[in-house]
Amino acid sequence: MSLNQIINLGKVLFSGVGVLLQIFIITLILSIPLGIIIGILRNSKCRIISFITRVYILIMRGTPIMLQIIVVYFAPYYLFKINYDRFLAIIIAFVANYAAYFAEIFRSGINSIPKGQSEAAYTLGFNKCQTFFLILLPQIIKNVLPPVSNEVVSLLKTTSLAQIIGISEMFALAQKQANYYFSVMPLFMAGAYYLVLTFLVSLIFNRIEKKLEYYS
Amino acid sequence: MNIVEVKNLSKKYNNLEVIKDISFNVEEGETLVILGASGSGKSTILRCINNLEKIDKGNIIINGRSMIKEEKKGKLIYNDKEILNKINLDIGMVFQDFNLFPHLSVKENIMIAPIKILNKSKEEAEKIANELLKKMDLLDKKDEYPCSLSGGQKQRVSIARSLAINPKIICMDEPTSSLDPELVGEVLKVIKKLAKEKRTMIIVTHEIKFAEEVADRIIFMDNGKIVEEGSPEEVIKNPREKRTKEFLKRYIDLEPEIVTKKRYIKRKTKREKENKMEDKIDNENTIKNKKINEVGSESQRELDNIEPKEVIRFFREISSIPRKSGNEEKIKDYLVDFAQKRNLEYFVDEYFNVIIKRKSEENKKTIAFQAHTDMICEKRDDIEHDFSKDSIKLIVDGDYLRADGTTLGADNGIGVAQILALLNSDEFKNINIEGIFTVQEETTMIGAKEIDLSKLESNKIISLDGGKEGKILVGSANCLEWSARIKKEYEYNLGDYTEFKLIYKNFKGGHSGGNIDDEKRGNPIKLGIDILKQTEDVYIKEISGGSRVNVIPRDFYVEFFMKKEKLNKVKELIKKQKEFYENVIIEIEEGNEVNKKAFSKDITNRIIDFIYNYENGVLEKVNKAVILSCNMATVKEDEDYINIEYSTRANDLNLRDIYLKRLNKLIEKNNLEIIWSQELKGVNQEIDNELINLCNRAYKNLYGKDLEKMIRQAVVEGGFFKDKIKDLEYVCLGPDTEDVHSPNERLSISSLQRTWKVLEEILKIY
Amino acid sequence: MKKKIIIFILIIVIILAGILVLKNFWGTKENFYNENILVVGIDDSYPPMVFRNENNEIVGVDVDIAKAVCEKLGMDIKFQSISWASKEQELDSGNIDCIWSGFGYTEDRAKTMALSDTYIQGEMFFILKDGSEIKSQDELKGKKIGVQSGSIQEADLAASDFGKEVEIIPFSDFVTAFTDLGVGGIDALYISNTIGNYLINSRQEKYITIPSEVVSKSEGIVVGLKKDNVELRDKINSALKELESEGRLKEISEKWFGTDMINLEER
Repeated sequence: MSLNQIINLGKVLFSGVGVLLQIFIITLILSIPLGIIIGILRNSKCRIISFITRVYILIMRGTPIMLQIIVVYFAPYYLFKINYDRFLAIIIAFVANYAAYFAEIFRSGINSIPKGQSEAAYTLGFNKCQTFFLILLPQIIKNVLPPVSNEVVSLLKTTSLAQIIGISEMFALAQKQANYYFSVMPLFMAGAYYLVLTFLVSLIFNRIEKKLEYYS
Repeated sequence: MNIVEVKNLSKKYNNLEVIKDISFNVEEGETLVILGASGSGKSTILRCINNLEKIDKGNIIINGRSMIKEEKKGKLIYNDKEILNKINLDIGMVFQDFNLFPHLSVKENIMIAPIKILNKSKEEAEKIANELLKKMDLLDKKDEYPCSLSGGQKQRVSIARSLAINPKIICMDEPTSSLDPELVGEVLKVIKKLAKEKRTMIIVTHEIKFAEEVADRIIFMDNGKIVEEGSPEEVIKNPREKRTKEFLKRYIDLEPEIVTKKRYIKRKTKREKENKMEDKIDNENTIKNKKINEVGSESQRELDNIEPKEVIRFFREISSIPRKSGNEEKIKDYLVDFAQKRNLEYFVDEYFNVIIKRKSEENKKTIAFQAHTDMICEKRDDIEHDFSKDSIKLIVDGDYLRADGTTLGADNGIGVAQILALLNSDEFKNINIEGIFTVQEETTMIGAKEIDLSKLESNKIISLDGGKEGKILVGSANCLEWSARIKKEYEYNLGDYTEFKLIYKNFKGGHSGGNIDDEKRGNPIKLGIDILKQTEDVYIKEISGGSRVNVIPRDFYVEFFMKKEKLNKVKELIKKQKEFYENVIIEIEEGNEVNKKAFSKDITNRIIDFIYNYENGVLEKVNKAVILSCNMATVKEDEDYINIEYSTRANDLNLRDIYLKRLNKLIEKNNLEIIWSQELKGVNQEIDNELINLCNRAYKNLYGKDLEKMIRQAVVEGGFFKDKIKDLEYVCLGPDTEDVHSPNERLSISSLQRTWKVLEEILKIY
Repeated sequence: MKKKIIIFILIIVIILAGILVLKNFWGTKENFYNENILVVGIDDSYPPMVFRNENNEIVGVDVDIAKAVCEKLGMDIKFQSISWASKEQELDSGNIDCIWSGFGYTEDRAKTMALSDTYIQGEMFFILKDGSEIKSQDELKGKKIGVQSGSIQEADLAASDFGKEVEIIPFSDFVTAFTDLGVGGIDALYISNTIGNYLINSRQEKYITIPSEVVSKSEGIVVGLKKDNVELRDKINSALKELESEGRLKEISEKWFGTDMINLEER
């Protein structure tokens, strides 16, 4: 491939990066808080709630995300004759799936904090909400950072599954360009983009981890 | 006013009733201590009061607010949240394991509740935090994080944190039981401070001494019920119930161990220096108090009638003078005063050693007597006695003279008294008598080491210390004491290893000279290392054992990592050891694995190899008398080193030197750095020199038989005199004493009378 | 203070994200209800029928034909990339109005969809590496044959006797298929000549072809519509006829294939 072609290809793929980042960021922003909520509900003393969340997590982790995307997008039509935007569908699918993973991470994070912390907070007069946000969450975040960063990096790459319902994110574009040029070069270039993005994400997480190292 | 009312409280865990219908009140300003064995439900009560556990029956009323709203169909309905919150703010809680918030600095830990709960401004909260930290003596740590604090500091921060919301009542759940023994003191000090401020406190603990000091009232719990309740005097000193007595006994038995541990931490290898420091402190504490005993008149009269009256009189005078080792200034003053009054020549040195001479007119022959002025100060835990000012009460008990729950000080006060009686006597005018009074015999022997004997005319010294009736000590061992160390190196990431604690307790211990010949005493350090050696592939994490270099260790504690599957093998080994030694505690338990950090393989192996191959105990005997023995005395850690102390005692120096070659090889092999050693010289003399024969003759004259000559493994002061006096002749004689160095110390009066006669006879025939 | 700024930024980001999602939602919503837009479902990795050029524009035979048809019908056109595997669901759910992407006629498809007239008749062949010693279909027995996954060719091959004697390797796209052919991962590629010829021409390497004896159910390329959308089908059919008579289809065919492969046949 000529240099011009490569530059051109880079531009085309870069437009796909925009879509990728949209999916990535929106999914993260929504799935992490949802994951925390589900994680808390999973620990709930109410058996029904805990059961429902357990089933939810089982389904989300136990079926391929590809299937989940198809179901999220097409099921409403078959059930209610509704069709809706595919971008919204991909966000819902990713958020639902990643929230389940994050829920398990946060649940173990919550369980890793000694009971004495909540008890000490209670005797000082904190209510449950204050206890969670002031005492537990800061400690949980430190504990769950490594597994969360794993999931986040994996999400970055999982965005490529958006093409299942025809969203032209970066990797889909790369495949199409590969078809056009009859060359694997575009795929390698996509790989390079992923690498750079992953590197940036890891860099951010390393920064955060460093920041939290002030206590052990 | 009752600020806490607990009414008919019951609590079950899965049908197991842990609290059974308990009621008690706490008054405002009162400090209530709840004692009891673990599992007695005492912590659960605190948790119920703090609403960390729901109660099943009864009610708790805090500051007039009831926790329970009503009872419906046998179920308790708790009061509204608002009221519970108010109750909550009235109570502060200090947890056994601190529960500090690790992500907040010390200051923030204290500030967070005032800011978020009491809506104080940041400045106000900071002020509160600073004041509390000052009180806890932790102001310099305010910006540090809990992870960098020691346990004692953490607990003090935790106390400060609970005080920050200014609660009416403070509950403390075993505030010292997660702490290393040496850190307990600082926390107790702070709690005592609070008690003095008349804060209402409920403290759950098993530190009996502390409970006694701090409590206004004590509740003793057993099996979920209150067994005994009352003032500390009632519950601790005079417990009525059997369970209380058993509990108290068990914990008091454990106490001395803790004490020795504390003492060790203070002690550095340079013992002399330390002792001088103590000197100062003790002197400051001394209150001038020279009053003669105010013992009951009957016992007093009895005492007055005991022969030899002169000796008893001096002994009584000495007993009123505080003379703990290292604190001999008062007794020196007394001796000087004695000499001045009688116009006798005397010498005093900087160590307060005293020599007093009584010259005869004829100036014919001279003989010297020696005794040490200091004494061991031990007391029973239930006795109030301040050795720095209180007189020792003398009690005549049949044939025995004893003190009231303290050491008697007959070791060696009776020797001092006898010398004074001889110096004071009008008889034996044809003999020059010299009295040598040394200091710190019980600790550093610095008196004997440093005393200037050039003023002495006699080359014959009769020591009145450590004798036994019918026997004469003619030789003692040469004692070498070492302290060696290994620099610490650590290893991390012991992935598949598990942490264990191996604990040895309640061994008999004893003096490394006198008791070494008793196999059944055992050396827990050696035993523990034996097990580690046989287990193989271990990493030591923490190690400590023994108390002092001249004592056979009583305890040993080692934390180490090994593969979990070896546990059964270790248990097997422990079982075997337990079979041999009586009434000892040997335990292994899984550690709590805070981090997987331990000494490196190399360090571990060197420690194990050295201690394992160290030849401990009796090495040579002649006619049942030990002539070469060794003691592995202590293993302790400081910041950078593992310190090992051990000693060798020998009467036969040739044999010893052969042994030392082996020992040196072992030290070299394991690359130990010797940081300190000393030689305490023994007494070696011809067994039938003039002095020995003289004593024997005197004894034979009186009782018709020979004195039994004895050689001991223990160090005697005479060993140090050898270099100072040409052709020294040195023996020890004296009356029978029992249980020396313990509060049961007793002096046999009849034995004193008989041995006193021997002394008189010696002077007569000399 | 720092915390407050962070929280503020977070809230802004969440709001923006929400707007983005909604905008996408509303932005496409009009398609659903606007009768005058033809949403064409395409697999844009199927040159020369439909594919993306170096500028990421959707081009190809079917793109040109579809555009011409819409022009005739006076409709706007929107191409929607779909995953070929879920084309039926896309059509069913109404996310697209038709499949127009080198879509081959089969009887099975005719049963579940409304299909237009065929307008291009393709024939199947095997593509082999240049210099291969295999000269006939028989010699391919026991070899590995690549096909496009989910394609008629795959179904045909699997149904035939010949297919039982070879190993069928499905590929999701032709780039990997050709790469695999190059490295010997497969021995031959079974493909329609419409696309096959184009692919061979556009590659630098040389290939040989062997005609296929496998019975193909493919009976030409059609436009697939929802079963009940007969009205639109008829409109497309008549538009196609007009275009053919005007010579527009031939023009387009020659532009992409170099020859006229148009063969309009009623169904």
